[in-house]
Amino acid sequence: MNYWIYYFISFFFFVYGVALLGFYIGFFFLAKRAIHKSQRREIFLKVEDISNATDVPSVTLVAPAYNEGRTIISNVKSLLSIQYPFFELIVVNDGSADDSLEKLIQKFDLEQKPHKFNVQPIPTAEVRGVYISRKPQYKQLTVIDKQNGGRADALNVGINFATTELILCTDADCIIEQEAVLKLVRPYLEEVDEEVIGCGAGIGIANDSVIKNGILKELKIPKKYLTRVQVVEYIRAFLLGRMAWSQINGLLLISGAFGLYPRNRLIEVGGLDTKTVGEDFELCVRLRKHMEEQNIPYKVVYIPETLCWTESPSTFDIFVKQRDRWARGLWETLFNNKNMFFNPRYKSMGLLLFPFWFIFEFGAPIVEFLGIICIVLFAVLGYINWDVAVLLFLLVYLLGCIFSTLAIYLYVKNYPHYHKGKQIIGLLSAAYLEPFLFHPVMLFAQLKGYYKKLFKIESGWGNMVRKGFGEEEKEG
Amino acid sequence: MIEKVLEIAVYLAFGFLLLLWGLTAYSMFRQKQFVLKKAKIKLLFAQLISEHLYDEVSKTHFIEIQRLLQKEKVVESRPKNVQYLIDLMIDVENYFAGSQQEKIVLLYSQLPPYNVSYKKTLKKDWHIIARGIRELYEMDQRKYTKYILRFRNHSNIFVRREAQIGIVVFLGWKSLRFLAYLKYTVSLWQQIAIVEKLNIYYPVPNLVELDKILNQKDIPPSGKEILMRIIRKFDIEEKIDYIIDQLESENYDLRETALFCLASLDLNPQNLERIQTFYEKVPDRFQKRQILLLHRGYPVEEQLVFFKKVLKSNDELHLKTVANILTGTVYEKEVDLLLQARKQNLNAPPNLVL
Repeated sequence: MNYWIYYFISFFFFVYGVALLGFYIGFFFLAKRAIHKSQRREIFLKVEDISNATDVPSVTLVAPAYNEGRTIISNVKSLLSIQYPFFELIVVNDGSADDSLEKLIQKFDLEQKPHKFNVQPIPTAEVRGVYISRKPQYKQLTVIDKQNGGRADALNVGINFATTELILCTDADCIIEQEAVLKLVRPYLEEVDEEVIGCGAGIGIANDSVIKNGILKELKIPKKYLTRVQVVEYIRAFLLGRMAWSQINGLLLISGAFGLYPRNRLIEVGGLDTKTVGEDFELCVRLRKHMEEQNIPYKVVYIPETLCWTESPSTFDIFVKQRDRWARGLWETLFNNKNMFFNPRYKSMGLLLFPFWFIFEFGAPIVEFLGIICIVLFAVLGYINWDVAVLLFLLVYLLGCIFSTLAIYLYVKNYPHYHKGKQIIGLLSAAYLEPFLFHPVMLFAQLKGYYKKLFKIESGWGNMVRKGFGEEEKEG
Repeated sequence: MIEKVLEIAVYLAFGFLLLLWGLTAYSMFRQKQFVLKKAKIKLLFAQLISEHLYDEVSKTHFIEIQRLLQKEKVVESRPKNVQYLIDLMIDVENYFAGSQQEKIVLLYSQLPPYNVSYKKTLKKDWHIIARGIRELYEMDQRKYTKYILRFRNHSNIFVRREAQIGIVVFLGWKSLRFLAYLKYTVSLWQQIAIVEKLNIYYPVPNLVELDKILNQKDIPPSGKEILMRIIRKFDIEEKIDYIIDQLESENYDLRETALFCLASLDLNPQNLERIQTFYEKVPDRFQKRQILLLHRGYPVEEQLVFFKKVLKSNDELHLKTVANILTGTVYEKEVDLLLQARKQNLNAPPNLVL
């Protein structure tokens, strides 16, 4: 009897592993196709054409800022320096306790403007003041001061006050490539039969890189192992995962740090959900659900190129907090939309995407944890054939290395960011150590998040302390 | 048995990993080589252009150029190099006008490999055909106009897009007739590109040709959108009514484009009066709001009757929009009072200036 249980459990893990491997292989081919397609299309709509045109849709960059006084000036300058013919920047000071607002008022010569009749279709925390610059060179800048309500609430304020067709949700501390918006609007300009309801792009990690005046001057491989391995993780996730889903219009997530949406659709769905910690994932799912319910053909698009650079957690403590929050966000969105599971009304989203996310994204840490318990248990009971186990482990490890290497190869082949041999060796070695040093910590963080949700332990965003890109001194 | 299979699988996986390392290294090497090659071609091309434009051209001038390009491996067997040269040629062409541009067009017709762009349009792959068409019109190769015409309703969006832009570049205002025969919806970018090209190559509006197409019946919605954008771009005041008429359309996108165009045009009181008649008819509340916003910046006194009507509505979005427009005018306080009264569920004060 015990032996049958052993075989049944082993068979379950085997099927799960093979299915996951199959998906990853599929992802690679889909991603490769998507990148190829994206590069072919680029030829016919060059960024110079867009920047010279006078009819392109206007874009508002909404950047919430909370206690970012140390770097706020250079961050805002960086966001103001992007190239796009018609854009405005709304920086939302989300009730910062530091001197962020004072610094902004002083540096950009801001004056308050009346806002009592401003239409606010999305309910938010109270807006205390709206500021615009007296200096013509900063005419695109609007600073909104509001009571603290969290990132989602701050973004909602920006959406309310924006007057443009498209909204780019970002963070004040993100470094956006100069041509990023020009590239991001492409899908909106080109689409004919389906409405583009969201567009994201690759996000890269710029820890330890050279940044001057808010512009990435030289990309370097992070010195610390934790941040370096996250570079590989991001490349793999964005280039293989998201591009593959994008190819079959199956994207359920556009990163909160960098996503472009049509304002009218954001307002229709009531903006971002302020009650969840995974507001980016939740928004994308809700937008898709809304379009399915309206029966309007739509698309969520991803651009393979890295257009936004961010700072990743550099200590295990902050990293665990971040991944714990992501896990809770995943839980909340999946369970809040459970009516979509295998619901034919939502077509592929209900029948394929949601089940996939539940089984392989949400389920993976649980299955992995159960796997570890089973190995220990079966080892104690003496069921394990160690020769087979070691070979199997080696094979799975090598397959993991292959996928990471494939992602790095695709990146190197198509994009110029990492072009030195030393950089590639650094990335590859980080990837090969990932299962031993990085992955266990991530598993712990994810399980911690689930534990909190399971036992209803209240926990918010957590204090995500960032080092900053080390620019505040130069700013003067 | 299982051990043996697993062992083979491990060897295979390791072999594949080694192969990937090799591919990555090779890819990096090739990229570096191509960067160097591009720099050389660019330098050579800059010399050729400068000699061709500013030096005396000898009889053997073109033969020398051909030799130099061949020496730099810009030959058919190296399509990447040829493509890079073509991209450079297109970039450069945009910087010249008049007699210098004519010289450039002559030079381009002599550069090897010959007819490379035209040959692309004979291929089966959509992206090569579209690229060929794009190169032909970007390099002003007008002799291919008739040839491009046949691609204007091609089933591939990129091929027909490039063909339609090419037709506009070569035939100007006359070409707009094709809008009446569009088989497929025109993307926003295609609309923008057509209007931009018309503006660059034919900056003086040809009202006779425009009238012909405006009076055509059964123009598909995306064709009408292009026409509205043309009226906007060239600021053709006498045709603003055509845009206003589109507000009556049942097509959401058509109304949206009309509102977008009207927002940047200088409207007279008659235009505004006509637009006001569509306020009730437009079904979408956000587009209704856009209609209200069109009144921003014009004398408030002339719009008072209209605003008064809107202020009686129960839609907060519209109320606040009007209130916002009236901010800074003598009516600001009255509107403030009205909104406060509404908020407290009281009746509006009776003696409104409005």
